[in-house]
Amino acid sequence: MIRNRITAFPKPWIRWAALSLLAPLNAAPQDPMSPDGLGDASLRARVPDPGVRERAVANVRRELVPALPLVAAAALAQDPREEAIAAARRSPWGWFREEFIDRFNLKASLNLDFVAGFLDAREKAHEDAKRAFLREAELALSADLTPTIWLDLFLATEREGDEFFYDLEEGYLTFLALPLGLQAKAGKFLAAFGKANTYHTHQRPWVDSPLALEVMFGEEGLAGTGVSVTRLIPNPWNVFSELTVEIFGLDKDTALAELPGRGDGQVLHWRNVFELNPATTLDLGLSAARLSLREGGHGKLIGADATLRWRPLDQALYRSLTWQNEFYFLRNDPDDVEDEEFWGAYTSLEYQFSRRWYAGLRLDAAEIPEQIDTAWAIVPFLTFRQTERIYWRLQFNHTRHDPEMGDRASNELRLQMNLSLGVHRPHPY
Amino acid sequence: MADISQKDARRRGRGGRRRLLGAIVVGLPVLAAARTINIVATTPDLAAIAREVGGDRVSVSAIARGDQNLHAIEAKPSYMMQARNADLWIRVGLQQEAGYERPILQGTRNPKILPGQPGHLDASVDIDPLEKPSDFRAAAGLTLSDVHPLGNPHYWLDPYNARVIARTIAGRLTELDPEGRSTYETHLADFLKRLDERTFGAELVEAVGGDRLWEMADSGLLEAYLAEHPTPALGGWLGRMRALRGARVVTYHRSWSYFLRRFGLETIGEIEPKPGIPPSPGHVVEVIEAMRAQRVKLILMEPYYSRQAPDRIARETGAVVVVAALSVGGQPEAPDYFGLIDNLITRLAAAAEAQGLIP
Repeated sequence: MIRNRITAFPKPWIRWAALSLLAPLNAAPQDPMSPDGLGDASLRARVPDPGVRERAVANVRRELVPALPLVAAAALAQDPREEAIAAARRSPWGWFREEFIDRFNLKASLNLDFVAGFLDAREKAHEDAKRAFLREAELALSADLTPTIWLDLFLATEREGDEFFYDLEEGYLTFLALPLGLQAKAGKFLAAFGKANTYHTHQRPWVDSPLALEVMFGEEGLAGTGVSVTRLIPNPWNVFSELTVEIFGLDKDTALAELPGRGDGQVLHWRNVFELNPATTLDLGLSAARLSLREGGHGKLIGADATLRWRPLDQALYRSLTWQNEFYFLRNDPDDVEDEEFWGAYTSLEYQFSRRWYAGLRLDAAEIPEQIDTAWAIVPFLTFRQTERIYWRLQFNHTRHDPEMGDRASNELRLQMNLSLGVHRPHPY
Repeated sequence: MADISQKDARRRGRGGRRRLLGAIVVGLPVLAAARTINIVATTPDLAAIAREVGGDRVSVSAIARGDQNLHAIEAKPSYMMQARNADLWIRVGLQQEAGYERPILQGTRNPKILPGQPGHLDASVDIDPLEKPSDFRAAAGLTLSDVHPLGNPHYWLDPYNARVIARTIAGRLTELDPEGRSTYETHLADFLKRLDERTFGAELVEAVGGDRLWEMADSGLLEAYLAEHPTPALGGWLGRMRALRGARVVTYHRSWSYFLRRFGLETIGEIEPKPGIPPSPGHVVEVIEAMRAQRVKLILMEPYYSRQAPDRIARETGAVVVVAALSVGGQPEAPDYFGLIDNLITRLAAAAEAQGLIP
């Protein structure tokens, strides 16, 4: 039927053509839906063949006339999707988006971290205050080179004196589909030792890193350039059990309990996540590392981490609880000097009590090189997640036998504001 | 006798082994045919439609549950294990899964379902989204609010979009499993027919045809046509909601836009001051005043939001709070797609009647 064919045409120009062809027929000012809207005489005049004339006229009247408003409306309304695609193609932004962002799935985001210190009993707080509030700016770029090879780059600022430098915090290719069920990361990355070591500044639930982490690995954490291979371990209970093996060259700033590292490092990490019920998960990990020291010899580390997460499904926006614990044990075995052993640990409990408010308490403990007393700290913190892109955090650190204060106590009050722009990849669970 | 010669025993063993081998050879095609396409969808709505289209050639599961807020999903390792052997991953798209999809896909170690592969399907490819941001900054994610940069992602609430989703899924299933083409086409046609009948009423669909009815509805010509041709009458969902056309509602979150547009309701705003921000006392007062001024008597919200602000607003304005599932499985009355829309319409109609909005 003519009606079906015309209205089935997806292309607007065909509809327009059909409409203009029909326009003479439609020239009569009467309502085209009325049976007398088209003069039979003018219709008959258009169909020269008498054999089909009457049938054609009857067909047109029965089928086409009621459809004319549809055709007109359809032609005038233009397929909105096509219009949108055409508009996108025309604009330079649309072209850029299609070529670079959609095809490579290129995402860029910027994270700005501001910290202001108030009780400046500690030298560090002075430093934070001096940083004109901007502690760190991180530019994160991620792209899919192919569906199974992803690229991630994280450029973070480093401050030396009054100048800011950009440093590659992490930069690696991820190969998602290697044989034997392996996945690998190649490049520079934060070592998969424990949990807190892998956090970027804005991922942390705290303003600072736990004391144990800073003592063990230094302020920059344990990072290196090399390869990290992971595999899931099949098991009859279908539990997520992941083994990670890493081999890398140590970052120049790495220091194990203040003993500089140089050369190679190897890390082994085994992570198991148990889903106790749909609202609760238990994440247990064991880590081991062997890192070369600059003075010769090795530092050997073992670590354990345990994290409990609770988030009730029907109140997921409003309530959640995270209880995160880590323990480290380091044995430094340099060549010409005595062995040294250190341990460090933290426990952190964070409770979400409203849609945007989180309150928590962290307890730190760490043995300090050259110090008899173990340093420990009580760290209450309060986080306000204003939107998905901005959060504020108030944190108070009370530290006893603080290594930065010559073994005395110290108090610090800090306010953090963190701002994200653009599309950032989600944080790991 | 009990003693069998060695030769006999060997012959018997051979016969047994041959029978076993024969059974395996015959059984293999049966096993192959019994293997279903494993689909993992991010929401139960996509899962429900995939089930309708795939029939028993597919086994479907969803990441999110119907009673979960889709904004609160995290990339839990259990989801990675769920999708480890998936053949097809279906997502809502329009940045809805931005908070959790990539870590899950990476963690599954399943290269078939990675973005860019045939086993990865974005169900929004043929959807025309509402509320696309009009400027470049919002589209690039450079603004500070929670605005979805590619448009409102809750598009499954418009039955027309359910047709589009079904077609998209059927197309991809046919690509992945060409042998099942006829099954998918049959199931798709059946689902579309049932959907058309539930939307317009069986008699009208039979008289006019589903496709044409949708075209008329989209061009705004349906009412004119019905005025000219009063029988058969408009039935189904559109028929039930006809009395409510033009009614004004307030929603908690901006999640109902597609449903409201299809069924002719208007929203005068949301209880959230901005998407993702909980209601502030000042904004609650503004909403109350606006509702009084425009005589809005209906508040529509999902079950997983806090009732505190809506209840207060309802008390102050004499409105009624309608709590309805946004997704399949969100309430017991919404076990599948048809139930989802039925439930929503039933609750709205009942509330409207109680408020005297429908005679």
